[in-house]
Amino acid sequence: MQRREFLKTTTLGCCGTVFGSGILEKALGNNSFDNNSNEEALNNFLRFDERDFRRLADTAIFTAKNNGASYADIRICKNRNQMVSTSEDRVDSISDSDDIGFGVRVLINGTWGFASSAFVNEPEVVKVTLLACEISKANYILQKIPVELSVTQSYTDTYNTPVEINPFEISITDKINLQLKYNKLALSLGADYINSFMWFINEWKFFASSEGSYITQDLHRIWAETEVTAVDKKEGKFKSRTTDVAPLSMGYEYFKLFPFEKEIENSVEIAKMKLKAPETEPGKKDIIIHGNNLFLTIHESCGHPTELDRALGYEANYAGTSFMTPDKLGKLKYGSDIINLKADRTQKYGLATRGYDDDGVKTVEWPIIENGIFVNYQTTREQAKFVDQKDSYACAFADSWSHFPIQRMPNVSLIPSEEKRSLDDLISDTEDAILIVGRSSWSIDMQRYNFQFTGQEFWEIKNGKKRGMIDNAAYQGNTVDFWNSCDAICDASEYYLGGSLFCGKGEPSQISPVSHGAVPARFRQINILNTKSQS
Amino acid sequence: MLLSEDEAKNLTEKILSFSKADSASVILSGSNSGNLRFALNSVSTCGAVDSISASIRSNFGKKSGYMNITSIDDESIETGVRKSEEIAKLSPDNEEFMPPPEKQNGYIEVQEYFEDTGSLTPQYISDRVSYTINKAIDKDLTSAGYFESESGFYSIANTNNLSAYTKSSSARFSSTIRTKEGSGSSKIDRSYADINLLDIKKLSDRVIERAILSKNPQKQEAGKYVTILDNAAVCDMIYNLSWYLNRRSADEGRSFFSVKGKGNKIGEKIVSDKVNFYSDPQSKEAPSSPFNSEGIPLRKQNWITNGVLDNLYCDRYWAKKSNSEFIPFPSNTIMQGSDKTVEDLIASTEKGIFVTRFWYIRSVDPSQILLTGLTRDGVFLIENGKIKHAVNNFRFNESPVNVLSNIVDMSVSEKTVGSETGDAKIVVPALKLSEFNFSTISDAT
Repeated sequence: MQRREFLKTTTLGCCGTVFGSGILEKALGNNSFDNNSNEEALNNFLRFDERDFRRLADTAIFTAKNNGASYADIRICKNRNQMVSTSEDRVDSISDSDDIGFGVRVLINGTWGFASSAFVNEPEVVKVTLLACEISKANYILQKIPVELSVTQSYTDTYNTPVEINPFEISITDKINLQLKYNKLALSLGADYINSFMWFINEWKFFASSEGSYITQDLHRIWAETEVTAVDKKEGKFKSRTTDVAPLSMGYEYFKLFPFEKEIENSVEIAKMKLKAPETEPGKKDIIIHGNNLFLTIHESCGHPTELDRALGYEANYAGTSFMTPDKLGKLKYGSDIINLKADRTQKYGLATRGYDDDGVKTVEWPIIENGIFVNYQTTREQAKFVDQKDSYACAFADSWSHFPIQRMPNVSLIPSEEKRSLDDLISDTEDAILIVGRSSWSIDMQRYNFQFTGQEFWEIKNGKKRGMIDNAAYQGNTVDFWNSCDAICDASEYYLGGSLFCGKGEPSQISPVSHGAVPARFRQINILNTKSQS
Repeated sequence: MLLSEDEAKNLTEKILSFSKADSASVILSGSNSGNLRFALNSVSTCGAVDSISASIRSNFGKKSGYMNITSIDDESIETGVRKSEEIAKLSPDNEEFMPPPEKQNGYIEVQEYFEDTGSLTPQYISDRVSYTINKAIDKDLTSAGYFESESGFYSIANTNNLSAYTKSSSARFSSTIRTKEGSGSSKIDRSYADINLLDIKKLSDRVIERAILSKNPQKQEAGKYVTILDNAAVCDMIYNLSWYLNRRSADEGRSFFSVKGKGNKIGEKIVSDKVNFYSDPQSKEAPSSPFNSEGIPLRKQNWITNGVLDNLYCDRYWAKKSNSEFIPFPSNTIMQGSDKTVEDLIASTEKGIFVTRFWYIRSVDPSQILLTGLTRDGVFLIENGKIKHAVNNFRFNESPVNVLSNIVDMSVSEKTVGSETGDAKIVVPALKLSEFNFSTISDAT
């Protein structure tokens, strides 16, 4: 981030100016070293630059080391979120937010301490670092497995999401006009209700560690979605369809790159068709899953169970554990021979793409499933050693300055077939199946065996041809059986990069953005439900 | 940061003093919190957070703009106010615009803050959690869990002289105990405004006992069974249902509560006449904010009485447009129970399934509020009034409307935390149902 831009948008401030100096005095009271530079520290926040961030970092690390820390790091973060949401021909809300603060992590005698504050100034850094040390010392007695970090290099570097057009430099008026234009199109085509939003995210963070790293990252994410609803009041029925353009790490060029008008035209048409579509027959069926639905199945049934922290039991109290336990590494036949899934934190447009993780480790790509075999986990510096790995795959992240970094999912994607095979080719090759398009609702158990997914569209395939639409279907399966039943996948020409901004895990609950690339694939004899007749 | 009522008022007044808009409002909130997480019988992560945030809304005519800031020095505030004004000016008129409410009188008294909760230290937390970990180690079990305490304030002010303030605290403890070989699991999760209600020892003993009972689950086919849902499972069902109690989407024909052709189901009997479902900020078990996010007072509000739908929440705009009563979104949810215990419900059951918790609940068909999800952390077969043994987990496809229609009996109502209810304040009983639809088996344990 340019310094001037930071100044323009920053709201870094000093609490003392509002409440008198009480809070600061308290903070200073804890401060054991010379405070000659206080005057400057208290008044110059709005002119912070790289040197100031380094000074704050050095203060935190100095304080932590003085209190017995063998390792310490600080993250100073500024997260900006702007959202425009509209319904039909009106603007529901336009909001903008700046979330600024810092967190300090200390490791003393193999026990973590972490504390954080929204007040970014030097005395507060000292106070918060001391609190982190106090927490570490209080928790020492609970530390049955001492923390040891894998070795990493130190880096002084910056990483920026490649952005052609910075969304925050586009006027609100332009954004509103664009969105209302889409809504108007949907209305003119006969949609009864339309809910749309555009969301622009800028995550800026400065990381420094006691190992000598100073890393600045400026990350951008963008998402726009329109849901159209068609109502048949006579029949008391309503059906919706949502556009399929996923959130991505990119700039405002998003709107040039994707055919939103076409997406909306298609959505209205599909919503109306769904009102009249016949019911799905339940039973065992072959299915072809489009990449825009399969990406989420990958997320739930491969992304989550190969998180090492889950597999070890660190998420047992919330997100759950994993059926892919370490004894299965290198042995489990996760899928059929044609299934290859790779993890990648460097993929262009990927939501989980970064330069470095919050452990200060440089990002990489690596295989997770190779020719159907489970070969690797996602790891952090703290946990890599539990599966006898020397290096972390750079998967430690926190979603905010106020949260402790935990193991998060990289972009995990299905590698397309090298054989030439389009979706049309795959359909031609299929006798009797259901084609499932678009993501809708999903649910999976806490060890990632049993899942059930619905979709936005279901089509009958008979004798190599796409026939009519059917409705109210869901597919349900068990992970290993499901991926082993896959007998054909399409080539890279059908590649779809889906993703979510809301992958949830951890306590306190944290969200994480992640993308998944997928191509259409065929699965044999999967359990199909009719959701209307289920209750 | 925990501000007093006067400090918060001074600051909201200051924020509004920068306003050049036709009208403006601000929500100012802040908190101090601490957390500790453990797994594999060892502490894993921890944290302390000192935070504050101001959400400023500026209006020009029928245009509005919002800006959130987390820094509260004069310069940041002024920048934030200007930004919200800039956004508002660039917005088109919103035909659904409602001006900020007038000054309100008569907020009811609610005690949401307890000093004992507000003054917890890292050492206190560590000491309490050590009981659970050590007991699990003693019993050769694996414990994981979480403790979080928070004290905060929430205040609202606007240029129509409205001013509202509330202070709250919470202490939450949860723990999942798993058996070493991985076949058994049980979870407890409780949260109270008053730390003195959170008996970590008792809760830990109970979850450990149930974890041992949940070992070696036997295979049980999917299907429809007489089912007892423990409070935590009911909590997720009620929470999901509460999101659908929206008058506008009912009137617009896109809700379960729509009536074919026109209108909504208010006044109709929709579930068993045993169901009484309401909100009340003065609830002893779940004290909650006495005003909504615009500063409008919240009072006791009935939703379902003896199975009849009393009301759906309705925002100010829709109330005006549809000429109906304004019913604000509530700050807690309460379902009346009986004086029985869940053990009484089990004792009265010849054959049935006892579900302790649900997990990963998602909407399948909004027109019938059909939800899917799974059981988790302990499912048991009941025979002849006793728990016979643990059984496998299930996926379900069910609607909370069915659940509330199939009630045979219920237990005492308690403050409960569901698997996916976050910090929502919910008080529910355990329910005995004539049937519940388990659609497939899950191999997860």
